[in-house]
Amino acid sequence: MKSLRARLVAGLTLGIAALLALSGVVLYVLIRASICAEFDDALASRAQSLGSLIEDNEDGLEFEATEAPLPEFAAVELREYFQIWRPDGSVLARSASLEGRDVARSEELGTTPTFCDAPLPDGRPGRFVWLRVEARRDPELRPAGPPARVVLAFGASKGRLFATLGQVRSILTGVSVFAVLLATAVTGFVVRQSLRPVNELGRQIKQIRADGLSVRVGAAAIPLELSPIVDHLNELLARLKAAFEREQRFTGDAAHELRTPLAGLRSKLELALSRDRSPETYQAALRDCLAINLQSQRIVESLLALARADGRSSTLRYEDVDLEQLARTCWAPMKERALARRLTVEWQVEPATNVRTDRERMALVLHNVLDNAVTYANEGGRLRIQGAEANGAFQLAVSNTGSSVDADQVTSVFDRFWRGDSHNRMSDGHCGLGLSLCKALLDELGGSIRADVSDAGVFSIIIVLNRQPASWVRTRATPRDSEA
Amino acid sequence: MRVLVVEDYAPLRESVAQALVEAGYAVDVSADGEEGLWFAQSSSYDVIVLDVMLPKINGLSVLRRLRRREQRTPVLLLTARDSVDDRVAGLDAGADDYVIKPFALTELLARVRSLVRRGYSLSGPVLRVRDLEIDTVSRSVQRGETRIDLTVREYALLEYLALRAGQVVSRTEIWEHVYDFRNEMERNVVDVYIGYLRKKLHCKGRPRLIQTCRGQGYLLQ
Repeated sequence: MKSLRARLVAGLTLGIAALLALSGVVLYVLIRASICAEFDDALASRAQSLGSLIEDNEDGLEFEATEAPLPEFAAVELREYFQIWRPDGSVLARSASLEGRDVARSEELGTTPTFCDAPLPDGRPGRFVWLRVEARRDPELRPAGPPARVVLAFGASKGRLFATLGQVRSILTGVSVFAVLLATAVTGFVVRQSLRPVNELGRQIKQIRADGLSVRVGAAAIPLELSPIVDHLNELLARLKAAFEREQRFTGDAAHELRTPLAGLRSKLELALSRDRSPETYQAALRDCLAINLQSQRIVESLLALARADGRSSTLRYEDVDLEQLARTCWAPMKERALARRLTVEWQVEPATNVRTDRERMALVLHNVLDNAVTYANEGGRLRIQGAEANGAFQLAVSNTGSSVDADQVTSVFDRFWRGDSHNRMSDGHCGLGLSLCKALLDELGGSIRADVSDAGVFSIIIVLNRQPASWVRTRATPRDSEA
Repeated sequence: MRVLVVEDYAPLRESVAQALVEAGYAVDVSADGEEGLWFAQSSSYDVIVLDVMLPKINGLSVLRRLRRREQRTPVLLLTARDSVDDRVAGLDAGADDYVIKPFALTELLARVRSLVRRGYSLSGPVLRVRDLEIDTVSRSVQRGETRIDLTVREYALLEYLALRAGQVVSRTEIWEHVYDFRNEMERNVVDVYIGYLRKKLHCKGRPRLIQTCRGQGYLLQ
């Protein structure tokens, strides 16, 4: 795992070093050119002054100071080299430093001085300037013809030039290295300071525990770049907290719902066994225990179905299902109960409407919804089962009169273990899991379920199956029938 | 002793009530918080067994309302919620005891007995008045060395008088707290049972334990 800080420091340092190296090279090239030009100027000016010592008189050309080394030129490094040629090409003068050798003569000589590098007699690199010089004339002698033009070569060792350039190089390199080191230190400091909020955030996140999800991270001084992360993290924490609370509530509710019938069972059995009783009393106790047992079984099965729907542990088996037929099959076992409660039942379902869905799951949904309607309708009330295609989806609505659910409670009916207050807990065989199970199943099937309650106390559950709407097949017209 | 049982789950409510009745308590039952609160406020109970998750008014709200009205009746909360938070919430709302479902009936009865004793500021299960000894656990009565056999009603009446030993107990109080005299048609049933008790507790050469305070009630001392 690479450290962001190390990467930033290394990247920035490398960048600064490259920039410094480039500017160093450019600077060196410019300085070198300037120093070389200055060196050449000095050569040319010295050559000119030597040229002024050549005199053209009646004796011909004469070089006044054939041996002119000044005391300051005595050092080897500062020694001067020159050679002067008469216009006819013969040597007029030659410096002693040349030790009798000729300077390699430049072929093309214009009016401007020509520079060239050439080795000195002692083998060191040197630089020479070539130029044509007009010999000086005494005006009083008034010689005839134009003044004689001699060729003069003047040279010096490049040692000093090299030394100066070497010095420049050392200074530039030193400054650059120092600058890179300084830049590394400064970059390291700046990066560390800039990354402090990240470290702080990391520390805060590290401290978050599963039981302390109400904390929020990055309260103060969060840089602009980190605020989206912090915002998303806080949103995530809030969602996690809600999920945890939901889970805890569910576990608590599940424990409660399972323990209550267990407590009932235990107390019934303990009471029956606490003394000798008549066979009728034992029979009654056994019947009660059986009823409690069946009820517990229903709760456990609902919880299991819910867990399976939540965990998507089983695969869906899609097939074409005739919803009307399925609803009637689910309704069959409830007919008797509806009759006993004197409920008027109206069927308004489009027959032979095929929907591609999972038959078993859909049957569970319909069973729960119809069972709820029969249980919670008022005695002698009305039940209506409507099903039709609407907006490319199949909509099934099951309504019952006599609902005690308030409009503001409508969204709660899908909460696990939610029950309206009007019914005694579990005495009706309902534990408040049916509708949440329906919701979980429909989520799985790609449908939706919602509840609605009218001012007149008509409670409706509306199921919409919108998955694969193209698979609808309708084969018959819509007859209506009703049964009481 | 009169106990109110507020529990919405019918099988549990029935068996707890039955067990309490068989243990000699007068029992009233209620299936929701609203009715339970009404019962608790309109009668005097020795113990209230209260479920937490109740329809209409939640058990904790019932408890808080009772305590707000300075009603000190010992309350035993009955609940399936066993987390520390739930227990703390229950006890902080003013509960005297907390029983988690499922529970043993014998334990529930023992806790009810303990709460009855606490209600009458007693420390042990044996009540003593002079040479009379009443064991509230085995429900046995002894005077000196003599064991006295009592019917359930007689025992309940004697236990109530013994719990309030030294105080004059009115007929109405006996009516309220003991067994199911309220269901009797005869108004003088209390006097009849006091007569039975006197006969059974009588020992030659020993003082009478139950005295009649004319116009006020009875006194055991």
